[in-house]
Amino acid sequence: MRFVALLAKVLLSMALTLVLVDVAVRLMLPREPRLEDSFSAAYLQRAVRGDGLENRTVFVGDSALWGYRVGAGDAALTRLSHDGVPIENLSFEGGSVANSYALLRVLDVFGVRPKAFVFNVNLKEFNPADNQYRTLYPAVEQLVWNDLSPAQRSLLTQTQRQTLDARIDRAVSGVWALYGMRSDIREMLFGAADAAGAVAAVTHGLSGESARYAASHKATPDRFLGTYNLLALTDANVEVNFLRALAARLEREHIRAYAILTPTNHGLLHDYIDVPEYDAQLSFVTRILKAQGIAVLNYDRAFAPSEFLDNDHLTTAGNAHLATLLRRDLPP
Amino acid sequence: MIDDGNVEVPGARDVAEVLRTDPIARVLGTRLTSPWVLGIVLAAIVIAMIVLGPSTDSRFIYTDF
Repeated sequence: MRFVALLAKVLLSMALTLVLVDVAVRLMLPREPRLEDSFSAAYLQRAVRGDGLENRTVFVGDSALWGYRVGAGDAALTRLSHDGVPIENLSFEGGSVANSYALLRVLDVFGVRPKAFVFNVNLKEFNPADNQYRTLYPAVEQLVWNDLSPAQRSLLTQTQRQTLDARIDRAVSGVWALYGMRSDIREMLFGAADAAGAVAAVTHGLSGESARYAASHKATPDRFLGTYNLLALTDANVEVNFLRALAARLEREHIRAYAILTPTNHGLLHDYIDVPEYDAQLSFVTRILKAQGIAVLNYDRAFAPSEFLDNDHLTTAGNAHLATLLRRDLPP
Repeated sequence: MIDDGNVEVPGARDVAEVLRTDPIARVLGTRLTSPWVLGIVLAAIVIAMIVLGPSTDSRFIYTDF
């Protein structure tokens, strides 16, 4: 009996400590200027619910908008934010039009109506060979899958496992903030997916492996052979489907919306995309957007080759240029 | 020398003396080892496992061309 009382005290103390830490995590976990590399559904939900998005312009898009391989402070959208423009950056690495539609649904599900909605359209993601084609980012999928129509779900490949342990994991993540946002916390603490990854990054930096990797991964045109599929776009294309759905929903809900045609490095990709078929694709998506009253910001050829890291990711200077264009083209 | 209970072993210390002077025994004998503190320590271990554990989440990994 004495042992049971002892055990009960230990468990109670443990539970109280975990609850206190959880409350502290919910209240004190900082809001980052942009989503982490592998953000969680819990973190996204917290960002959508807690930041007064009704008074902000929400940006949704892929790594080109997110600021791939530049620090968070140098990303175009962070610069806008620092200049006092009220924005929320919900773009992320691996975004696509399907993900932008899904994020608009997430906002809708949580009853959030942003001041304006800005998203980018990147033609490379209309290529069925793209590694994000037909999929949603796991955290986004987790929040919105059941709110998609059966027809929309049939266009996508579900990546969330439906096993018992996966369901339990999601249920625990939903109520326990520390556990649910563990991937975000690890990235904030270590700057990597986990502590081991941070140690590996330091080791690779010291040993010169990082430098050798960067040297062997220079952006040359041959690496982008097959990145863009220039066959005429039709409604059989999943991204076209979601682009139509996104444009229609924005128009129906009277949300002021802007679509950015993604800056593309025509100097690097000249042999592949400086052809009439590429321009036909740009015209095709522009028509879909304008038909629903969405303003199109055509930045496709607005940047010099020196402002790119590769085919569509901008350097720090390129991000500064993008911020300047957005300040010019978006209402305050 | 065999200790038969009657013969004092040279160098051996009284149990009470050990509990009073040994550093580990002194820690174990204090309030630090109360069930409440033990619960906090266990919670800290759980938190450390979550924060320091390996990332096994199936996330999107950007393929750098």
